[in-house]
Amino acid sequence: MIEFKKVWKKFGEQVVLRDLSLKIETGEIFFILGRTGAGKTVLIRMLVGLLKPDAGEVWLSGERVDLLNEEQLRAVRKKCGMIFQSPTLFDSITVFENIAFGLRRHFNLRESEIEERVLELLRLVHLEPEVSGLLPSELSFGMQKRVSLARAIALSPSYLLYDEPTTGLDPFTARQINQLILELKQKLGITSIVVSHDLESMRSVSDRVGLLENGNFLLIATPAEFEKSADPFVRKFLEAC
Amino acid sequence: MSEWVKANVKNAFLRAILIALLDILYIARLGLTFESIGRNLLRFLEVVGGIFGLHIRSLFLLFLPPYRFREMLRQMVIAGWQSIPLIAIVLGFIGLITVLELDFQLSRVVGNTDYVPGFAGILIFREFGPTVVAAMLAARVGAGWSAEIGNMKITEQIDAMLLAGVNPVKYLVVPRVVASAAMLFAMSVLGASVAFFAGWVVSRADFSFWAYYAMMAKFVKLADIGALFTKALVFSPVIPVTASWYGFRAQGGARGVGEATTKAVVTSILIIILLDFMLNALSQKLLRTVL
Amino acid sequence: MLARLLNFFSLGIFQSLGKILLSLWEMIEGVGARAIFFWDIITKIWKRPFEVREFLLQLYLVGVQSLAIVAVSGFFVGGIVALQFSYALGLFGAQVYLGGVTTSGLLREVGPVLVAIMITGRIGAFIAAELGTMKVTGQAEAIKCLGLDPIQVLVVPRFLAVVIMIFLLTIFGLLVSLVGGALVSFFMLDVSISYYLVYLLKLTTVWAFLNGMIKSFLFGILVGLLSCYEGYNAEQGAEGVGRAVNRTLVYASVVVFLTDYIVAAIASLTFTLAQEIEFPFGS
Repeated sequence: MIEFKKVWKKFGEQVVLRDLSLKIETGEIFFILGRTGAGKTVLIRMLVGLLKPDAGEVWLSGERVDLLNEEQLRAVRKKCGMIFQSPTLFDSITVFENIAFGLRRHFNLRESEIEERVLELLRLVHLEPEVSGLLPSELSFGMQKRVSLARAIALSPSYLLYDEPTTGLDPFTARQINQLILELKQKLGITSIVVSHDLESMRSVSDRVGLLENGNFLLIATPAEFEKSADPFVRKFLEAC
Repeated sequence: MSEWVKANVKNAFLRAILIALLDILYIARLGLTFESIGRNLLRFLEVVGGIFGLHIRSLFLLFLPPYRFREMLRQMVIAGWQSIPLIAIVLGFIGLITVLELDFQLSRVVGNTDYVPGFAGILIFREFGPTVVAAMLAARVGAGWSAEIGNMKITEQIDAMLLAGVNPVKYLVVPRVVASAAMLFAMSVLGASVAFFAGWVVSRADFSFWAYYAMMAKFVKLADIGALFTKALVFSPVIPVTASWYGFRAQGGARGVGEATTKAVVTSILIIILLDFMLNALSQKLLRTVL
Repeated sequence: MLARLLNFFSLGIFQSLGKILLSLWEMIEGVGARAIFFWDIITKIWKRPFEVREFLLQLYLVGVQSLAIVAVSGFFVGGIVALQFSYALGLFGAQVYLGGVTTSGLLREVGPVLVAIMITGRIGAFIAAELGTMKVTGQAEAIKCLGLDPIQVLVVPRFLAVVIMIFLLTIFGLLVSLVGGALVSFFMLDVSISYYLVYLLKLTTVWAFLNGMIKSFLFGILVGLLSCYEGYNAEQGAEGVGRAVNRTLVYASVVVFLTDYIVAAIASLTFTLAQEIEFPFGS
């Protein structure tokens, strides 16, 4: 379970998050929509301690994340994975080593067990096992995104944070990613927060949606309710996308 | 190889050192063979040949109009003014270290330290002045130039220049060569003076500045100052030409620029060392024939 | 243009003073930050798991990339030292000391500093660029998000590799430069072998060798620390990485010479306390 309680965040004079509260249930897929620069990425970064709020509380799985030090946060990050907007794979090592990165260091596994797990993960993200020997630079953008997803779920997290997972992908690949997000929820029970501009994804994947504007959520609703909303800004947003 | 050494090098001292060297290399298992040395040597010569060629071209173009005086001045300010603190600090330390060490050595070897200023002066003016200053400038200014030109290469500005009929060597390299010469002169003089002064600061307590100066003047001849200027002149084109040569060859985005920078710095320092050696050897030969 | 130059030089006296104080304060802050980083690295060396693979890979890369450079520069600098000392000693009529003074100078001063500077240029810049690029492309952050410590994973192996390699390469470089100095003396200066060796053993003490070794160990720590720090803390974009490389080169050079002076000063002060042992070499 994830909870933000009255969170404030300023950058210099700019107030990005204003007295924001949000509760996300276990097993939910929650979409955060909003304009560029609305603070969507800032919000999810607070969950893994990459940013700290100026005021308020951030709760993850019964723990107050904003009070933890770097070492304690490392344990948190094993539970809550993050997939960045750009794949940020380690470009000097193979796909296999990328996915196995966390596995090798956190768990005491035999080489054969690691190999098994990596291949399993590749299957989960619908990639061929032959990909494992390639370098990230030899992959397409969509494949890189899927490898970074595989790398994040290698540690069997309970939560996943996606920063614009379908941005920059063609509609076909985007649909594949969306399908994956759903599958992960269904097969592994992962709670997901997805930051996105993509209304199509929202309609097909999300359980609830929040529109972030002016430092707070203008509206939190199910996708159906969202589409029917009478709020002028929401309507403008829906039309623009 | 060690077999050859054991068989052919008669002198025990030299043999011992060479064997030790080879043992270390063997342990490092670098597969050092005559072939790999040869291959790397050829690669090195290729680089040196290319750089040498660029030297010739830029020196030739130097004397052709149009002369970009403003650009030369601009480069001088960038290269020189911003390097003053670095040169002053590093050469200051060198002065301190030189006199410290010489004090120590001479007190043990000849028993008195009267000649230290002379000895120090010779080393500073003939060697440390031009060479260390050149190395420091290669690191600071050369890195910047190779990054700059490398960046221009990967953003295709060099190609744009060629298409516009502008000669990049004339446009980019020549002003930097002139700036480098002027600045290396100035910095060598500055550096040598700073080192000399710093040396006085740590010298034997009873050396007044003028006594120190006088002792130095006894042993440092006009020829040594000449050596300073000659070396500065000879070393100066190396920095911009090497930086430009690697910059012109940068490939593969930011990483390529980084690699170009690294190689440029190291290669310029190596070339400066080689030139220094040749100049010293030449002057040694000349002295012998004169005498 | 001339007006602009004059303007540049004519900063008010208070402004200049203010700038100097500000940069002094920044310098202190900088030293502090790097000291904290250093302590961070040291404490994390012992944490499990140790990056064995990465460490070995870095050892190999650092060593192989620097070997030729150290060999070539060492050899010729050895020769240069011999040539310069022969000239200087010649003025005093003390050429007999050539072997001793050359060797001693190389072991204590020129050798360690030369290797440190060459490696700063080759490896220091490379590590700064590599870590800087990783920082700027978000790979360092990705490591954090996998619940790992980027310092433990990236910095520690590189730091240790640099420290060990500078130490080993200095030994190698010293040997090469001694050979260079000797060869130049024999072949170019017509110094006979026995002549070269006469005072060599007397002047080259184990203490001088230790001097050089301590220096190279310290240089290794400094170059490793600075290149990793600058890379790890690079600012955004390609320019940030470029600036990190530049800073590494400049700071490392200055700090190497500073340390050289400090060690030399301490050494000469403690000289009377140090035991002199003849180099165990028999004739």
